[in-house]
Amino acid sequence: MSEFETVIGLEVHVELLTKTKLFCGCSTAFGTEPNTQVCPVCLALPGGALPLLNKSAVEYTIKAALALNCKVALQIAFDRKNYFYADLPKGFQISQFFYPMGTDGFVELHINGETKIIGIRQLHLEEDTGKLSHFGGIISSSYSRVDFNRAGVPLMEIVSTPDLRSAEEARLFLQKLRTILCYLGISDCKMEEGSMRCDANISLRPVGCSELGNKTELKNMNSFRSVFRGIEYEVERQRDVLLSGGSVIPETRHWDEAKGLTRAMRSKFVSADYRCFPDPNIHPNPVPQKWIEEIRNTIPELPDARYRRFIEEYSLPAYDAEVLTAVKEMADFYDSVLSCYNEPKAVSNWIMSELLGLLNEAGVEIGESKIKPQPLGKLLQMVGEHKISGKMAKIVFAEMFATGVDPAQIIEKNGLCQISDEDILSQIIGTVLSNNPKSVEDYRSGKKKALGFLVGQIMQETKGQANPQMVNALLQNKLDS
Amino acid sequence: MSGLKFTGEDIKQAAWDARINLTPDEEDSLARQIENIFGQTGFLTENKLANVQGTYYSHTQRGTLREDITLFSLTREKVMLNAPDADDIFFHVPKIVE
Amino acid sequence: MHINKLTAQELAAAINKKNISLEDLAAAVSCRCGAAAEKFNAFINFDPAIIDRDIIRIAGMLQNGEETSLSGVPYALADNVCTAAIKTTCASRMLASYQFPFEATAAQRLKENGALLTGKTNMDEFAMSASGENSCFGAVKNPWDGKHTAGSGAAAAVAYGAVTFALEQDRCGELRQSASYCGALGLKPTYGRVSRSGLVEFAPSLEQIGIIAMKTVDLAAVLAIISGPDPLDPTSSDADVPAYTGLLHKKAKPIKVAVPESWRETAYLEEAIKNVFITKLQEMEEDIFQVETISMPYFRYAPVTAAIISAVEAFSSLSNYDGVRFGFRETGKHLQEMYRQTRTEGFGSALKQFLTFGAMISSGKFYHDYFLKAQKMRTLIKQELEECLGEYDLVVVPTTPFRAPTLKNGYKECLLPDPAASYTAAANLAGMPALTFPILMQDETGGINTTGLHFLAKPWDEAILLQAALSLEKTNPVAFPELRR
Repeated sequence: MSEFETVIGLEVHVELLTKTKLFCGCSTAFGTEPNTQVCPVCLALPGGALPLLNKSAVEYTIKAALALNCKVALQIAFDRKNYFYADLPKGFQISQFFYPMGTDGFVELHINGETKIIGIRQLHLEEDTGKLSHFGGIISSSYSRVDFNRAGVPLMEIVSTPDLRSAEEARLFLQKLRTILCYLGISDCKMEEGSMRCDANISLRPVGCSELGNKTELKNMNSFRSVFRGIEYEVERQRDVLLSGGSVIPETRHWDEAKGLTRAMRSKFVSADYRCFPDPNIHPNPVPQKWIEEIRNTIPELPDARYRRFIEEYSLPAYDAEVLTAVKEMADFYDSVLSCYNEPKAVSNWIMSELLGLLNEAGVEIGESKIKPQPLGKLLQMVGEHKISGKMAKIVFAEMFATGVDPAQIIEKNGLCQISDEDILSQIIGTVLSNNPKSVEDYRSGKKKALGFLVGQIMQETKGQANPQMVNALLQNKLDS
Repeated sequence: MSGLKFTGEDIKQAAWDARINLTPDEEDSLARQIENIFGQTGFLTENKLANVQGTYYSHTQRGTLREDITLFSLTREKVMLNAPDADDIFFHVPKIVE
Repeated sequence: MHINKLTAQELAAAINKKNISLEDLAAAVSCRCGAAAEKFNAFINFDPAIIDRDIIRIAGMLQNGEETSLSGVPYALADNVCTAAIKTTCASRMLASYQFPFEATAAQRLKENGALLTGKTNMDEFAMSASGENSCFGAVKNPWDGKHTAGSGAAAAVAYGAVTFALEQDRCGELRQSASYCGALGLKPTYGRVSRSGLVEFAPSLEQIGIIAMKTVDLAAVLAIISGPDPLDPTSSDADVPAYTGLLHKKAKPIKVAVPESWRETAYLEEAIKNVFITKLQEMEEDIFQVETISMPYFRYAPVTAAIISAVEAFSSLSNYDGVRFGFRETGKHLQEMYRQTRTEGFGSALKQFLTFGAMISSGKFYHDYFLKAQKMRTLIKQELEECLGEYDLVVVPTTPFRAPTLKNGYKECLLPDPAASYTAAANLAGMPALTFPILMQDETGGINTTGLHFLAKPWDEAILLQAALSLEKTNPVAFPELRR
């Protein structure tokens, strides 16, 4: 269809869930009063700015490097990246230019049953900047306000190789990254809160060509949806430019969510010469293999491994496996339910059709809901043993979700047990048949609709608790005899 | 003499990058000094340097790692103590866009 | 009262035993410091109220029965070492009213040991050199004759006898040069010996806080107190802090001393310095020293190497002076213009030129050939010294090629490289401890000039520097400039 191939690389910044900042003991708590989580170090006050490296930040980064299949650096070293901006207190950012913590890794994407490998060029640790708010909007404001609470929060930057070929792949990559990092527990990756940010480098080239075309850098995409829409728009824009005989200007562009388009931004920094050099205050630390192994041992079963296990061990279809492993807590939940009711497909179906729906509606995560694995297992067991109809079970489940009460209690309280006792059912059927001779007559003379009426009567008589399959079978039997 | 020469433009660009305006006298004065020091940097081209690792730290002492425990932060009052232009909550800067 | 005749230990004992009253002490110190401030412009911030406040604090300590080792001993702090209750200006318009909320660790340790802070001393802006002329608060005059520079107010205050000791920072040798100009002892410790927390940063891989005093025993006493690891300074070392005072009188075997043969070829080397250095070497031979001249081909590249590295580090480390969170601020139509105006008006001329130089040689065009190569030369200089000090106890050179320069009255230039750092910069590049020992000379007119003998030792071996100095004190007694008027 397209004469052009899309080439996309992503630069993702992720805020780490450490308690304190990268180089000082200020809290990293989100949403607090401005300028209350700062100290002489992160505020860069003369006399007070000696950096004290956060051990957890390093551990989390090594953990991420391992989970993303990277080579881990032999030493922990930091460099100064020098530039002037209002949200940068020191006039330089401490980052890792020469020795990023991880290099040459990869991530697996599962697209339509196929697996695609996306390379991770590098992964490194750096400081976040403060936050600017513009009194009246960045163009029109006469002044801006600065809050340094965020300055110095540990950021992990992950750079992909330009292996992504569509907006959809980019979105999948981002989601996969999020899944993995959330599995590791090192970030909550919430784009709306800014704990995950994404810039895209986008270019087009004629199909079959190996040289890269001019690329634009796209910023300001603040949700998964914006990433998708922004890239999609920019690809189209570049396509139009090329098709009309023009060439793409290499520049930085902003995604305008409201207008649904990208706009060129003038470069923030007149000179892009960052003059990177090793920070004299941070002596390098070797990374002993023993420490790497200790960290590796803390990595839980990762999404890909779990996905494969769900397919192989539980014979689940790929789609189910993908949905169930997307969030670690959900996959854990699934495993727990299976440990009391070992019917993988049934449990999977229930979770995907019932539980996810209720969670979405209530706007909560699995960990926050009142549903626990064992009670759900019990409920599904009862359905499996025909002690309760599927329809009834949904009602019970909804109440379990709302109240957290045990299913057995709910069923008993509301008398919702399914009647599967043949004798009882036969009796009721007998009664209904003798009360409705006309319908019996109708059925026997060929009006099949009468069957439905009779079933309805039986259901009414049993307040809907009769096992429908059994009723159908017994009724059919009686009528045909 | 080291291979590289410098020009007045290099000084101007450097001052620009450092966010400093030099007067013409200061530029001249600096140019003389740079001429002087560049004249003494012949040793930087010595072959011996080719395989030498740079020293960025006086000692090869191990870096230290800090436990991830919150320590004090400044009260906002102390934070704003030296601020040239602020309200009680934020620092103020002139508009960003030129 | 001539408290400057007493060592720190003697004075502290007298205060603790109440042989000297705190009131008398305060009066004498105020008077002398006031004179140093007035005559030589040694202080940026001298206020008798500062002394009075500290006296009250020390009195309180004594009342609680705390008898400290530096009880009442008067000292001064260079004005780029932070103090909580007093502003820290770094002799710059940029920080003219800056207040840091905490005490520098070194100052805090002195405080806890009863020392009496008299005020903050004058210096070149951010102590970028020891010309004595680059302060926005006026030049610092030499207490010997008032016509030459003192290099720094700390050295002037100590040499004048206003304070027993002073703390100052040393990056390419500024502390040692000033001490040499004023006829005082100056010690730069091993890199990492003394915490840099509270020292306003300029060139972090080179600088340390050091001590100026008139007597070796005082250097030892103060060093013991300010040394040691600090959790606030990740570059501070947990190497053992020896009992320096106890080690002073250790009878050492002959101290083996190496003299780099290139010392004679240093530019601007005065004939008088050359002669007195040779004389002193001979005297040392007759004492407990064994002197040998050896080839050290890289030593002489130290000042150029240090100038390049410190310029780049300073350019980076002074990028936080932007008028946003503290300090001087000039208006601007937009952010980057505000930065430019602020830094142009806030920084002095010599400093601006130095920072521009730093920006230039770290830029893409020059980075590889100058900055990167300078770091490699730093390795060679360091290795050369390490090898030499494997065989010898000390390296000795003159401290500066010339005596205290005449004050030029407003002539502000940034010298690249700084010729005053010709002999001193190597110690900073290698992170090794170094000491300057004062030598008094008669000049051509019969007046007294001073210069210094400079010793460099291997890391953590401050003890041998102190032993050498103590030995030389026997034949070169301490001398104070005569009181003028």
